[in-house]
Amino acid sequence: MLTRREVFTRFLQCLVAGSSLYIVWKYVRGTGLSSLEVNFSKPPKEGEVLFSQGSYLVGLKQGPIAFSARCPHLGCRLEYAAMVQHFQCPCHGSQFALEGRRLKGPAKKRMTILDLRMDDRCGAYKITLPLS
Amino acid sequence: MKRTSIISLVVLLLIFIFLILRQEYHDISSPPSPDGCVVCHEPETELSPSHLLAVLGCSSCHLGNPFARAKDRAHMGIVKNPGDLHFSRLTCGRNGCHPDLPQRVEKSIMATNRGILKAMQTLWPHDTSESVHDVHELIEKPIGQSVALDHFRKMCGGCHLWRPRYPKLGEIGRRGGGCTDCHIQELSSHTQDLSKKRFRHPELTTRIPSENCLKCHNRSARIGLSYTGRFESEAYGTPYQKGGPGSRRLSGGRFYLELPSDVHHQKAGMDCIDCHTEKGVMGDGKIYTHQEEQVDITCITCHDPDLQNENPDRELARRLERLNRRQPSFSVLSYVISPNGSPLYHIRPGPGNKMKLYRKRDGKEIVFERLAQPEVHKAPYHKRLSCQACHSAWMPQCYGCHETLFKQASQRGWLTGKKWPGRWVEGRSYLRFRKPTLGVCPDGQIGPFAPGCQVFLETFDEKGDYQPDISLRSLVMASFDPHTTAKNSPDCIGCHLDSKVLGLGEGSLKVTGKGLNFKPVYLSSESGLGIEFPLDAFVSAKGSLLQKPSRPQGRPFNGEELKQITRVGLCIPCHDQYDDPIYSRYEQSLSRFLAGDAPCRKEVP
Amino acid sequence: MAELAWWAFLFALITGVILSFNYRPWGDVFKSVSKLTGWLPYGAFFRRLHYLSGQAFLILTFAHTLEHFLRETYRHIKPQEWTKLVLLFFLSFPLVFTGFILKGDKGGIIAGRVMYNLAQEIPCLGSGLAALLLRPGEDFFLLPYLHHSVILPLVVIFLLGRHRKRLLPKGGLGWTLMAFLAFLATFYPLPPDVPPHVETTQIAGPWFFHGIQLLLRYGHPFWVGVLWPLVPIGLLAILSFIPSSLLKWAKWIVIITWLLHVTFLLIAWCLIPGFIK
Repeated sequence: MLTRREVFTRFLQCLVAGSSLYIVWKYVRGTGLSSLEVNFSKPPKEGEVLFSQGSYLVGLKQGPIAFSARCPHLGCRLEYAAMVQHFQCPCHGSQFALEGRRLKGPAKKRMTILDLRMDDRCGAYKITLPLS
Repeated sequence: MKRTSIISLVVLLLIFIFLILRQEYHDISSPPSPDGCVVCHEPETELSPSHLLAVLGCSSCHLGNPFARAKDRAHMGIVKNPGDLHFSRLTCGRNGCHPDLPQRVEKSIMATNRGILKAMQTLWPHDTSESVHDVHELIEKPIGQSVALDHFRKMCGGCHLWRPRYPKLGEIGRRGGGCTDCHIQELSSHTQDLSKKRFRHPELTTRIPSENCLKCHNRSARIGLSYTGRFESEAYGTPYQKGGPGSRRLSGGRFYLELPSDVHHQKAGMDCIDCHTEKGVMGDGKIYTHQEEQVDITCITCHDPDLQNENPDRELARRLERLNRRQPSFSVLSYVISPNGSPLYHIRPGPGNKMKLYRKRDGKEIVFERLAQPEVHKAPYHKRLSCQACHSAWMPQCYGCHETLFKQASQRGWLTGKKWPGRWVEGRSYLRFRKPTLGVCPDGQIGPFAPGCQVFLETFDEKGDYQPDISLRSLVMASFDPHTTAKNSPDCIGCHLDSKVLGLGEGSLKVTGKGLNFKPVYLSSESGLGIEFPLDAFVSAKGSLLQKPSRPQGRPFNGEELKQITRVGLCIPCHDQYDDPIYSRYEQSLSRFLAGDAPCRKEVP
Repeated sequence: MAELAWWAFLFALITGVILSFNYRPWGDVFKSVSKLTGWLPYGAFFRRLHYLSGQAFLILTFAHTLEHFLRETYRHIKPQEWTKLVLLFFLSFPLVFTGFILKGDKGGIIAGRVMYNLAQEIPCLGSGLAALLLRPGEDFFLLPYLHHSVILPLVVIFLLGRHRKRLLPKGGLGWTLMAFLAFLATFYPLPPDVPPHVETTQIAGPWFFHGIQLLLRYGHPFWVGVLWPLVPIGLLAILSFIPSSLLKWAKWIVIITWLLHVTFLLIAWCLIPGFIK
């Protein structure tokens, strides 16, 4: 049989262990960036493809459109093949058209469109690229 | 378990609870991105599209301790102006940003002032044991006895890239600052209220406004003023407006007159950066002594370009083009390139024999002619003429630089801000705008010359006594591009028979069989200057040197050249066309003329 | 005392492991330490706790060694056991010193440079040894990090020797020590980290180095910076090999050299006010 004092000590130890584990967890998890600001100083011309920090800015007839360069299949970085004017996954061979449409598998979805906005203050195009 | 352990456990638990409560309820739970500075400071505007606050934060440029909580810790080692060359290797030049640039800029003429220092240490009273090569060396050195360096410290050292920015009003407050000296759009007010969270941050730019160049380049050669069509006048402030001095004002209580500006400014609205390349301005990493060694453009770079050459720095051209949002993008990279290999990515072949320039600041297209009229520009007898010799409409000429040093009083130096004995008083004899005097430039071409500088130095010691041994006269003529380019050039007589242009000075010139007979207008010795020749005479009528050239390789026309130039002057009143047949075999035509055989002989007195 | 020193080492080890989740010995180390301290939850607490437990380990190991020195344990135990104790005590200095470098601030960087240059002063072996301690340039912090977090702790664990049979040290004082250190860590602020570019007239190394720092102003770096600090430790280490007839003398020489070190330390603190903030 445990004495009252032993029970109290165990309880206290558990509390100390719990709270210390909590603060260790909070510290160890850290707070990394959840997204990245990518910026293009100049709009692309029609048919032109610009790349910066994991995102593509493509000049289409209806205006510029931004894509994440991560393949929707397993996250490899898509390369732009200028000769044939489409995006290509170097890992598993998926292909996408300039406007992000899926041309060839194994990817099931189209390229991820990113939110594109024009910064009036400096005239640059800004993209918020989620990192997760 | 012992009692002490239990008490310790309770204390530990209390500490943990205290920590958790403080963290959860009293703190900003997630760290600010990208650094802690934004907790207290938030610029109202972005700095530039390439320097987004969300990407770089503040501490990438302003250093300090970006995540410290307390103000004094966070601000430890903070740099107010990251462009300051004292810090630029850590800020603008940090790895991954512009690592090569601070090292290049530190060696460039605008940072070293090597030319000015060398000239002064050679021509002024100076103790060679105190000699320095560049401004930075001078800043580090203690103040010595050299009169040359004393003058530099107190009168010249206000314009160089090592100069920190000071919160002063007017032009002085806008000068200096290293990278930021050029690369910012100045704010209307020079101070910021940083106690408020939101404030205006100066905008960074590569489309450098000409005003940034002009805040320094408006004295001495005054090329900035001349380019924009302003001539520094005498300080009367005339014509008066509303009963007081006029509004055509320059810094330092000076005034100006409106003159024709440079054709590149007048017709094309071009800025300094439309011609001057990044290598020409920021240097190429080599140390040069003189401006003309570093500047890497000439007129023919654009007006008679060699577009066939292999463009070596395509990557740089593409980068510069991409960085300038106002420039149209080109799929084919064909552009003008400077003799040193700098890409002038904004100047491209145009339709036909024309060229196109896209202004760097707004991208406006300017179509311009390549070099035309080969009979004029390729005439063999004018092959030594530089473009500036004919196409400089006028040149500001500041005659007589009277420098007096009073050791009784003291004056603040520009480099360190300290005061020490020796006060300089400076004044000129007179200032003129006129066609330039021509002479032989260091590169062997005929080009414009102007006074630079004609020093009359007088020194008075601590007791107020004149010190003849450290007083001197040093009259120098310097060649430079006055930046007053005009499409039209003077007619033949305008040069061949103009005593001022020939280097003799203002006066009456007679060409006789025995030689040149010249009577000057300005009588220097009677004016108390202590010299026997007028201030505007570079050379005597007999061809002897009167004033030193600013470079050993430069010189005025010699006696033989003067004779040849003025001899043609006898023919050009009638034969004033380049394609006149007498010039194709001039010696023969002349002997015919002298023998009385020429068709025009009877008409000439 | 040994148990307490062991506890202190354990705390330092655990907090070190925790800290290393958010510490990078490359790139802008100052900025990452600044972020770790300033903005990561409980970062400042863990850093202070790590610092304090490291200091506690150093002081308690000293106390442990002193205790056995005064009890003249070296007369009875095997010479290698005694040497292990002295070596352990000796290693606590480089352990704390490398930790000082890893702060990445101006003091840390300069301490690293001084360590590198002192090592180079050693005849013949110098440059090779220096290359093992630190690589100037981009990987400045990499080798000190390796020594601080892997090699030296492993050696310390090995040297714990006769205490190693148990996983945890004996005795209930551990909780008390931890409560004491945690209390200090919560309320005692660390000295400010000076950004690396800041120009200062006075930079102080770790506190136990101040006496040597003072001597380095006057003496030859090898004699004063390398050999002299090793003398008292070396004499201490060979005590158990000395014949008992000479032991009395040897003991006094050890005491005198240690007292000299302490005197220099005190002189440094008196002469150079920047050393104690």
